[in-house]
Amino acid sequence: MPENPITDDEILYRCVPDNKGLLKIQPNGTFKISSQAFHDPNQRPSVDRARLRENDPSRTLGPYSGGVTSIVTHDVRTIDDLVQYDKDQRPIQDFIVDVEPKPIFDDPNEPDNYAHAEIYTNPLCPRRVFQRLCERLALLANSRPWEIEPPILRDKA
Amino acid sequence: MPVIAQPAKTLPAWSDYNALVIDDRISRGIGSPARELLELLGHSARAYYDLSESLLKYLPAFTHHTLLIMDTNLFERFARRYLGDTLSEIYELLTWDTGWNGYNSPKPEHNAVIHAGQWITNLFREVADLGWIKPNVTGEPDGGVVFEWWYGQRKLTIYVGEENVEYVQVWGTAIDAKITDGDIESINICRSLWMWLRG
Repeated sequence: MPENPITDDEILYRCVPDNKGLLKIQPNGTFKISSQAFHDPNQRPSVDRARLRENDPSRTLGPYSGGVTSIVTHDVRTIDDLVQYDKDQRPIQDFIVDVEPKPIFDDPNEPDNYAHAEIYTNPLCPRRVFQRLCERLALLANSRPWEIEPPILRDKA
Repeated sequence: MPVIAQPAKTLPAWSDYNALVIDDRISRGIGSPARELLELLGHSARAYYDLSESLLKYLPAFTHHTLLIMDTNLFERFARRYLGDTLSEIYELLTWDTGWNGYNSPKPEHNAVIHAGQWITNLFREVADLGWIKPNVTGEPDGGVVFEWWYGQRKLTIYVGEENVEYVQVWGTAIDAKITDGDIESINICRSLWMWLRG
């Protein structure tokens, strides 16, 4: 059992940098967050626990130009359709989605971040399944208001 | 100061085409780091039209084959101009560095970017008659290129790697929307995906 476990009601922040195609303005003026905003080469998207950032999303954004979106831990944990299929579309394996604390201390490349957490699957899922997870996370993020609206949206308003 | 090539009257059709491509790039203000990319684009376009030139020389004049090739030239010209912004966005990925997404992702791979440029042109050729939608272009944190289209309630995501292309379909905007995926082994599959996207 990890220390300081993440409760279902915790809000998770994710930084979305500007000008990298992670945000698409629609013809009707609304926006969509790209699924790639949640992609991660290690298939463990990083998030910050809002509670441990004093509910201040600007601490997640840090020096980047962009916005901060959020999802709720409970919504992540209830993703229950991550299934690997064979070539005949028969299910091979199910994957559980969860979030665990991964505080960063004394990392040579990263500033200390006690709020850092990671979304992961158990067991580690294949790339194709992870792509579907990213779409699901983007749907969750797109269903919520921005924590910090990116400058590109503020300028448009 | 960039020099813009002007097509001479005696030059073959593909030279005129290249001048149009170069005009597009310079008018968007691409600086010296992109010069190499520009040369690459020009080189691949020349290779394509060299082939067309050869065919034109050896086919009898005014057969339906010749007309087909001429039409292809016109189509390519149209496609390149129509896709200008998208191609610029794709080749700009080569300027992104490690950590471009704020989370230590590697920079986009050169061969995947080149493949993506060719692939989107092929897609345009395949589906433009159904109504083109400009894609969102971004990098995949594994080094590939990602195209995304939102249309009504549906979303289509295409992952282009160095050699493979994959798709993900999202069938709605609700958080429990159906999601399916697959490989794109031939560009022909794209037509049915496109029809699905447009409903």
